[in-house]
Amino acid sequence: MHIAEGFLPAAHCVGWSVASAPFVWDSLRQLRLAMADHRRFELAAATGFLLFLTALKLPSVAGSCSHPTGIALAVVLFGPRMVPVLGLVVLVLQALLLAHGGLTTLGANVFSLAICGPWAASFCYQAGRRLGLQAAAAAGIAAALSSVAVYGVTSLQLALAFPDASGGVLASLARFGAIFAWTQIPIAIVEGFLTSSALTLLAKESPLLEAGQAKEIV
Amino acid sequence: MTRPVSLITVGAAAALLAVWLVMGFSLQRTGSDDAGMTAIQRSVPAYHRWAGEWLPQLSADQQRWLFAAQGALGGGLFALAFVKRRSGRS
Repeated sequence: MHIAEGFLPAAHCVGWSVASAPFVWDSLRQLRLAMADHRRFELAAATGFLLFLTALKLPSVAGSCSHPTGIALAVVLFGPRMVPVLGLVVLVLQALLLAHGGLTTLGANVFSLAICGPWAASFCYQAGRRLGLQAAAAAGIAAALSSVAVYGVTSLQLALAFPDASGGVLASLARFGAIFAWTQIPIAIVEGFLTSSALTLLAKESPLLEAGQAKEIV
Repeated sequence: MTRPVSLITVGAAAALLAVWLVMGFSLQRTGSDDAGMTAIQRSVPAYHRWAGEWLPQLSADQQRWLFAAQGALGGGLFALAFVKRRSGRS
């Protein structure tokens, strides 16, 4: 779920946009480095994967529907600093053409999907590798956990904007988290499996991954 | 990558797409956006969205097809990267 147009108060929209801006700027620099480094294959594959997964609005066991985040593959290939600009492109596309998310909530959605999610994925991936997991398995687990993390941050953003009258931010966070968790957890598991499979496919084609350097990329 | 893994990967992607096409198109599920708005109104009953969509509202069917187009764009880009890679190597 991306936070929809007009959901957040204007001050929160500005605040999240300001918080996201430096990460997006840094991400543009990372993108230029990747292009200069002749990594167009990995970049196209990661962007395609992100576009594909964020378009899949899947029905979930909770009777709701939502979509995977698709960020973990880009994180494994390029590191978390690259993802904000890729996420921004997808979010703008969806806000303008699909009425999903919104321009006023763009900063908040970039912060959750393209900044917090990738750093969570990076942390999980590195932890998995240090525990001795293969790259594909670590990527799958990182994808699933980061997907949940994105929705956790989204819940926090909504809780900060709409604290519960009696229980405050924490009660509101629990409410939003409960709503999204039941929808997102099954989808996160599917996303983990798909990310793991996609990385396995890429490893066959990419000399960088063939050389076993996936763990050094992040 | 071994052949069984390739087959499992392709099969899983196809199954996921099939589930999405069948269930996503045939069932009217409540989206997370709606669930989120309900929760917001529970916390702040008087709150209403201060900004609407910038473009005219599309029907549910139109939105589904646009999402399908985005999925096709992403899947196509992913596949194109592989085709280009393989043709460049051979």
